Amino acid sequence: MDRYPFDAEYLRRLRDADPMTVDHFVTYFTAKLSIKLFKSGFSQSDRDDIVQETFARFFAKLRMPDGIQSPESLGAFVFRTCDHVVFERYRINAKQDQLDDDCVNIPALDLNIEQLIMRGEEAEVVRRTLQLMTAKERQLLIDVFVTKRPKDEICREHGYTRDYLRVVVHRAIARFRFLYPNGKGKPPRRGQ
Amino acid sequence: MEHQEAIDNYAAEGYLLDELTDAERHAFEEHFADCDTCFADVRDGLRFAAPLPDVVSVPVPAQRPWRELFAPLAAAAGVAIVMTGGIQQLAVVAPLRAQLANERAQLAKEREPHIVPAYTVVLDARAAQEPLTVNGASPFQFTFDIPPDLPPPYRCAIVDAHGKTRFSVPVTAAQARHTVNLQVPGGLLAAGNDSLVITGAGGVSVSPVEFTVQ
Repeated sequence: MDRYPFDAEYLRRLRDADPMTVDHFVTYFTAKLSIKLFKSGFSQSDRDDIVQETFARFFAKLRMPDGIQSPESLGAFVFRTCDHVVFERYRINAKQDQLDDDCVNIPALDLNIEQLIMRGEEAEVVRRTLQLMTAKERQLLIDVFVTKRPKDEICREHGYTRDYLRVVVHRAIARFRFLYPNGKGKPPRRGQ
Repeated sequence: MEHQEAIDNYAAEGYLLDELTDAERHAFEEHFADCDTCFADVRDGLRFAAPLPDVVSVPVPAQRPWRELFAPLAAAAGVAIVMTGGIQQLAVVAPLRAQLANERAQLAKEREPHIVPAYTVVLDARAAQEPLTVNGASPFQFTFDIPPDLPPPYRCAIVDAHGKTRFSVPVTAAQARHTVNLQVPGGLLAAGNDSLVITGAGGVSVSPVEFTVQ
């Protein structure tokens, strides 16, 4: 396991606004919070706003006399702070968002041409990688992540239990990772 | 959540599949906040899953029927494939990678700074508007100021001649304080007569700007 050793010294440097430590902290948690927020379906601009707000609250709390005391729970604290920001965002959005049903909602205003090209490029690499997979693996991933067929139906069709579905998805992703260009792939872990 | 527990329960895959309970999800998120290994599992899964919807519109070649019909031969074929793996690497994978590198180079060129046609439009029915024609095959942008008397939140949309919304994007109040640039990727709009429509709170809109896509 590759676990970052947050300790009292790190916390002290963060509290003293040591530039390198602050830079590390922001880079480290921006990546993690962005993944968490992407999974929650937020647009790029919302993700950026939420991450900024999370950091603002975190640093405000850090500088309080009774602020963050235990460095080992730093990650958990940052994520809980983010959860609070997300919760507030949901409440605000629920009040404001009233769109027409036939309106195509493009979530990120800042999805510029460059990002669209990059997305297209990534999609092309994914498509080619998919072609190198077996039909069964390919179909499983499409069923799960694209058509989002009911998982019970997928399990019934293949004779999987719900727990085993996680295993086969793990294997399929590991295989995808293995076949992905530029040697990103490493052999599947957990002995597969 | 401990790391071994996350591994044993395939928590990263459960997270990707939305199979975790709220408590499990929170526990796993707090775990991957510190654990780069589990974080990489989630990140790589999303790297794959995120562009996948863009991929399935392109038909993926179906498995060849002979493999279905002559399943017993599949094992023998597998052995042959292993034996010819080196040849396949040279004959199939290498050209594929070369083609990909070529396409990437082309995309990199497209990402270099270049001029995009910009059309400044005035959202005022009293203002005289020249007939506006854009080339939908190439990217372009509309530049406009949202009238200060229009109440937020804002949304700008492209609507076709039948009143159907082609797409719509939100504009924050902060963005509306400055001139707004709406970038439209090439190929997104089909030829026809469209309108740029800006709405504020409660669907209140300013006078639409009509334009023709060639």
